Amino acid sequence: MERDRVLQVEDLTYKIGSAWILRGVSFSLSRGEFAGIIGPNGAGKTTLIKAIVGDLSDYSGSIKVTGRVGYLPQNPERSRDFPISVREVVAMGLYKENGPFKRFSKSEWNTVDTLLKTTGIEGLGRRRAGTLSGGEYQRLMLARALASNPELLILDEPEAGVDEMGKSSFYRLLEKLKNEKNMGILMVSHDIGMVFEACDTIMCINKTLHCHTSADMISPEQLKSAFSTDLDLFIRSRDHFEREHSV
Amino acid sequence: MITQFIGDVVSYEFLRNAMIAAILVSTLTGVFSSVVVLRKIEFIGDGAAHATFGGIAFGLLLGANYIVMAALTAVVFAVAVSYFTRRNRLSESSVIGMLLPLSMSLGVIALSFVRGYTPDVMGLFFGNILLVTAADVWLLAGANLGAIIFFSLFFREILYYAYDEKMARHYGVPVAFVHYGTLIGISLSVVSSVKIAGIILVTAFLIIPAVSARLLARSLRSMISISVVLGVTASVLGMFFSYVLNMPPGPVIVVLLFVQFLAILSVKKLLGSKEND
Repeated sequence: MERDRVLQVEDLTYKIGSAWILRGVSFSLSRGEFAGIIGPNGAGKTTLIKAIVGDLSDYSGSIKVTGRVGYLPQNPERSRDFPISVREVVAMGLYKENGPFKRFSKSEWNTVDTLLKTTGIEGLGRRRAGTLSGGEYQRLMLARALASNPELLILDEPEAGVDEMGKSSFYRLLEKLKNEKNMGILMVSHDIGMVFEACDTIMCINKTLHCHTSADMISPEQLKSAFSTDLDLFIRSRDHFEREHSV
Repeated sequence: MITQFIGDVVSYEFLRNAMIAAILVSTLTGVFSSVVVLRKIEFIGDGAAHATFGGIAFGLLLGANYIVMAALTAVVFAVAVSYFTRRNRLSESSVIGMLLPLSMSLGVIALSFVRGYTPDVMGLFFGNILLVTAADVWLLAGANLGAIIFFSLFFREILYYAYDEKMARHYGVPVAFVHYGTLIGISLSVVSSVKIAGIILVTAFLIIPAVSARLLARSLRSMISISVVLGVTASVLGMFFSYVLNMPPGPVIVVLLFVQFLAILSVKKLLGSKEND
C-alpha cells in the first residue's frame, strides 16, 4: 500500500496573520483512490489544493507527492475571443516535459489529439477554446491536466458553470480514467450529492480535517460538525442519503 | 495625385524617412499591441509613453542623448509598475496613476531649468513625423529586428503567458522572463515611436490595431499579422491623406486606425446578425 501512495500530507498548517486557514491537516491518497473534499466556504479547501500543487509555500507541515500531478484549477481562465485553439491549450500541459523555448513535436501533437479523444472532445481541436460550451471547456481543462500522464489528478470545483447532465457525464469520465489509468484523484467540490456518488472516500474540512472516511461510512453528524449546519437538505434527494439512514 | 505623392516620397528624403518610419512604427507596435491587448496591459503602455516625457526633459537638462534617457525612463517605469503591483499587492491602476503624473511633473520641472533651446512640447506630445531622420529610421529598424527575434524565439511562451499567466507558471513557462521582456519591448517600442506618433498618440498604435485584429483573428499569429497589416495600411493612407489635405500625419493615421476598427466592428456585427437570422 505504501508504494501505491501518491500523496502524503502531514500536519499541514497555514495561517494568515492570526487567522488559521488550515490547522494540522494530515491524510494520504493512493493510486486508484478517488477522494472528495467537502466543506463550507472559507474552510481552506482551495488553500489545501494550492499547497499541494505548489502555488503556496509558506505553510508548516509536509506534503509529499510521488509522481506527476495533473491540476484542474478553480474557475480556469476563459475569454471567449482569445485567439488560442483547443489543441494549443491542451499542449500547454506538455510544456514542462517538452522544455522551454522549443517547439512541440509531431508525436506531442498526436498525444494532444489522443487526449481530446479520451476526454470526448475530439473534432473540436481547431476551435477557439473560448467558444466551447461550459461542459466542453471543463473537458478541455481535464485534457490539459492529463497531458503529463499524471499519477495524481487534482480538481478544484470542476463542476462550476456546468449543467447537471454535464456534471454526471464528467464524473463518469473521471471514474473511467481512475480505473483505466490507476490514478489517485483528489477533488474539491460543493456538489455534495455528486461527491457521495462518485468518490470512494470523503474528507470534510473546515480549517481542520473533521472526517476522512469511506463514502459509505460517513454520517450526517460528521458532516454537521464540519459544516456547522444541517446538511440534510443538500443530500436528501440522493440515494446516498437513504442508504445512510438505513444503516 | 497618387503619382505626385509617390514621386515626392521618392525624391524628398524627409518624406521618404517619414514614410519608412510610419511603416516601421506600425509593424513594431502591431507586433506588441496584440500582447498588450490580450494581457490587458494597455495602461502600462500609456504610462510608459507619458513617462518618456520625464526622460526627454532630463536628457535636455543634462545634455544627454534624450532618446536614451527616454528609453531608460520608459523601461524603469514599466518595470517599477510591475514590481510594485506584484510585490506590494497594490493595484496596477493605482501605481500607474501615481507614477505617470510624477514623471510628467518631474519632466515639466526639468524643462523649466533648461536654458536656451527647448523642443516644441506639442511636437513631443503629438509627434512630428516630418522631422524623422535617417538615424530614427535605423533605430526603428533595430527595434523591429529585436521584436521579431523576441517573438520568434519565445512565441509559445508569449502565447501561454498572455492566455493564462497563473497556469503558465504552473506548467513551468518562464513567466517572469516573458513578462519583463514584453514590458521592456513595449517601452522600447514607445520610445522609438515617440517622434513619429508623439507621447499621446503612440498609445493608439499600441492598442487600436490589436483591438481590431482580435475581432477577426483565430490565432495569436493571425492576430499579430492582421494588426501589422492594419497598422501599415493606416500609416500609408494616413501619410497620403495628410500630404493631400495638408494635415499633420500622426493624428490622421490615428483617425484612420479608429475608422478601421469601426468598419471591422460594423461588418462583423452585420455578418453576425445575418447568421442569427
